[in-house]
Amino acid sequence: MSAPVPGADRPPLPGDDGRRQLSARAVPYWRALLAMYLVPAALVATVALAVIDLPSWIQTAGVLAAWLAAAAVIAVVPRVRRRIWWYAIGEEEVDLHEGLVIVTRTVVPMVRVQHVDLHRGPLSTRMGLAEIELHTAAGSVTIPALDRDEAERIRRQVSVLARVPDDL
Amino acid sequence: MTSEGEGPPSDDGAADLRPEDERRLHPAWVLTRTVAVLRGLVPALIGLAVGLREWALPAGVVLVVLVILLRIAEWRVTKYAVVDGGLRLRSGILARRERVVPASRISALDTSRGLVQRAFGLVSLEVQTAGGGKHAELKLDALTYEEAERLRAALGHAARTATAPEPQAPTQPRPAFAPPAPGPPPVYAATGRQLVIAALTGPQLGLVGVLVASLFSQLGDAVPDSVTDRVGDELSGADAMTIVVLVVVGILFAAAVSVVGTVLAFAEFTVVRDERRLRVRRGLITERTGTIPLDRIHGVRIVEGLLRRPLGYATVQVEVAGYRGDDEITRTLVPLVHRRDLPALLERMLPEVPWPAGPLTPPPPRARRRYWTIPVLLSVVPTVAAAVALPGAWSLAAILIPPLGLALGDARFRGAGWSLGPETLAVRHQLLARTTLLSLARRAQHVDVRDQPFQRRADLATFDVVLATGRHGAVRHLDAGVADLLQRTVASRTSRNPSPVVRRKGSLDSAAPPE
Repeated sequence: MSAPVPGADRPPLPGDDGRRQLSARAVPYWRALLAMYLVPAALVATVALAVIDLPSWIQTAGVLAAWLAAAAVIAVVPRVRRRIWWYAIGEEEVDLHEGLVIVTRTVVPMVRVQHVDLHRGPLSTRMGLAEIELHTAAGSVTIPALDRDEAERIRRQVSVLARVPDDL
Repeated sequence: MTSEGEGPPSDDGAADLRPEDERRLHPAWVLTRTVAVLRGLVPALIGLAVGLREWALPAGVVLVVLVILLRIAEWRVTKYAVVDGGLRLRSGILARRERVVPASRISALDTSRGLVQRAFGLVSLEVQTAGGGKHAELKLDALTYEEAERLRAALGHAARTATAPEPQAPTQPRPAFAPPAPGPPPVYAATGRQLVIAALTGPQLGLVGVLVASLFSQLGDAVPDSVTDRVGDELSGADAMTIVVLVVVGILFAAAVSVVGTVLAFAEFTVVRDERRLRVRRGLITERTGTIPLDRIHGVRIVEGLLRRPLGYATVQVEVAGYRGDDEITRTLVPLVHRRDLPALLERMLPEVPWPAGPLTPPPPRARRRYWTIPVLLSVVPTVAAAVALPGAWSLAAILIPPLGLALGDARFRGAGWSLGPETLAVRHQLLARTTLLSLARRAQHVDVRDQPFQRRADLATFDVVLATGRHGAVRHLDAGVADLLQRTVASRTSRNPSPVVRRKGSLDSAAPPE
């Protein structure tokens, strides 16, 4: 440690113990979401390459590359994302860890949470998933792809813990 | 809310109104609005004059009369009232509109006076609310000064000058230039010299520099070789002189415009502090008074611009929740101050936000070269472009670009730093300007630490604190341990030491949480 932080006795954060992972179904859920964008994109690339007058080996390579890239992203990204994601909800703070290449740990003090939203889309409903959005005065943070019971539990827990800050 | 309804007789003749009575704006509102609308119609009027020729005058008269009639109709239906401690405004000729802003939601009542309003001794009152976005929630455009003060008092935002507001009204019934300010002396008043320096070193000037530079770079980049050769020839010839003269004239013109604009906007800039708020007054032609409630101040931002930093000057802007107007001018607390006077000025103006006692802690030395990486990588593109596009020996100049990137990156490293005091967290970063965000640590909205693979390999991380104003204060490439400790400390201050406002409202804390 090169510089001392004044008054710091290394206060604990909820994420120090009791980290929780997202639902195991997060991976198939994100794969489905990604596929919804990437498959049409690859199709468009295929059609475009077929229409444009190019040497056929470039066409073949391009089409192959497009589909391989889409498949690789769908296969790898959700798994990595879930492996990195964890959250911990303590009495005083909400502690989130997320990212893909850039990994971010976000700490939201509970007194700063203004309200909690629980979102479910058609797909996530079908897969028994839900998403929690915590609103603060400076925007919101999201815990995606939670089991529905777990999301419901978090919503209740946070709305109990989040005091009325009224401190703008 | 029991405000004495001893306001001035209202304009529709009925005297001695109870506070909940509705009132209209001053009739001069019609004039101010007409002027404003006509100003917007100037292009249309010119088009009219050109298109209609001999019919232009009657058509223009009809248009103006129409506008005036419409304004009169609008004036008749626009009524405001203080209802249950809130401010209600009804307006709309066809679609009726009614808006109520509860007094508890009003974060500030600001006034401004334009030329027309000055002629009638009027002010326009802007009602600011938390989360109101860029614009005022409500705007009452033509009120007498006394009426504005009455509303202020009724809504609990009275000018907290040492004396009660009552005796002020008779002593200065219609202020010709400045509203009476017998309160505490200003904690800051801009001098003429400061205004001129501010204007000459302001960002507007920098913008001009960038424009000129980009003009030249475009000449270099976008023009095909044959043409660039010719331009090269011409540059060495007589036409180069013309270009230089044009550029010099342009810069002088920009400086003049900048001086005039800054002086108009910031003239008479004073900041007065009372127990609960800062009052900022500024402007020569349009005079504005802004109020900033002290308990909504989350921090200040000290901006040392590219031209100001070498001279030791900085601008101070305030970070106020629920007042997040993106307008640089409205957020300005101090248009110009010398670095050595800054701590004392802040101590006088905002002792709640103390300047860090010692120097800021820089990122570790091993972070230095990481600050170089991005600017140097980014400089590759212009380097290649310049090498290809510049004619002949000029292309050698491209070699200068990467060192420039390096210098920029190194300046960013030297500019970065942080300091955590008992109350405040100072975070400084530099791009072209050096910006120090001095925020109350306990009011942080969330605290982030992030890293990418290269940073992880070097055990570095980026620390980022986010304020309720949406403002980020980030330092890149701190030691990962330090970043983690900072995150923990700031987060724990926020959650375990809620700000005094929350503590004062202890009943809220202990109230049964919603189940």
